[in-house]
Amino acid sequence: MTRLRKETHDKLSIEPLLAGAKLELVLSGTCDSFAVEALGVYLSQVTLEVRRLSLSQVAIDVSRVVLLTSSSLKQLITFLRPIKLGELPCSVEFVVDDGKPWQRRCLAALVRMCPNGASLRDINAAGASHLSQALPRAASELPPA
Amino acid sequence: MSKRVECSAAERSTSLFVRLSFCPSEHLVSAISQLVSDFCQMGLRDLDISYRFRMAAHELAENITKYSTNSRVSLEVELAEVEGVQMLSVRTRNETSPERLIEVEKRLKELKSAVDPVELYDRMIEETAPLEGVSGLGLARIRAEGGLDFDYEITGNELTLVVQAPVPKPYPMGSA
Repeated sequence: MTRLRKETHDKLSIEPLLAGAKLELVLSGTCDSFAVEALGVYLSQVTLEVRRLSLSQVAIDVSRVVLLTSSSLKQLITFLRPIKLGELPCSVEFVVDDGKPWQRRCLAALVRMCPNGASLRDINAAGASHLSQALPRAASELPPA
Repeated sequence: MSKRVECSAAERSTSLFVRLSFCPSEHLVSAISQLVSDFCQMGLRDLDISYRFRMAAHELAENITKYSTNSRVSLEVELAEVEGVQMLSVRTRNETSPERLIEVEKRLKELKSAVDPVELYDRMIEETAPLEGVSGLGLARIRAEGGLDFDYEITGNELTLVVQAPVPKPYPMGSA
């Protein structure tokens, strides 16, 4: 049983769902400057839970997030770093809604940072899709703004 | 500043324009970015474009809130036809410290000249990852993830920063 609880900070809520060795975090709302610190603290607790429960996967569902600032991304980068460095034996799957293309573009940078430990999945698709197959890599490959 | 940003009135036909002057406040940042998003959505009815500019406006508004040295800041959003091309732009103006100006100009030059903005953004993520409490990714993110171009001007201690992109023709006002 996880020690994590559903939390709401300003306009961001985080709900944990534990199923076997997989922990899912469902984020909803706005990840802006008022949520940054709380998100960082929560992700630190997730790291502790991954170690305590020997979890093999953390899914972070951002499909209901409406804004993710660079400061919030920094918290996710900090969370991913020990996985990238092999210090935390766990994989991370970011769950996005491809109906909102910004989510894939945004989180893809983190998958590029940690290609062996992080992946992306469309919430409406059956399986995970890896970045290299599914993402415009350069700004010039974006559709016209 | 580039010709596109500062062209004469004869070359420019503005469809929509909003200017916000405000005292830098963390509490206003989300409201401002939401307004920019609504502005884009009203003019273009394209959620992806609206998000890109919302993200850019949020990052820029956060920056001017963090780094302004006085209470005179502004953010403008404009949809205009410039030399036959529809351009959407967000422009911020603020005064900041000489040290910050040197730092931001270095960053902006690097971003403007980057052949591959995504590679630069990825490199910055790698470089800043070990640093606690420092993001420093906002401007690079606007360029790489948002696919928006930068322009800037520094006059004394005032920084004017413009992010922009060509967009499809706007919907006529009042249409369903």
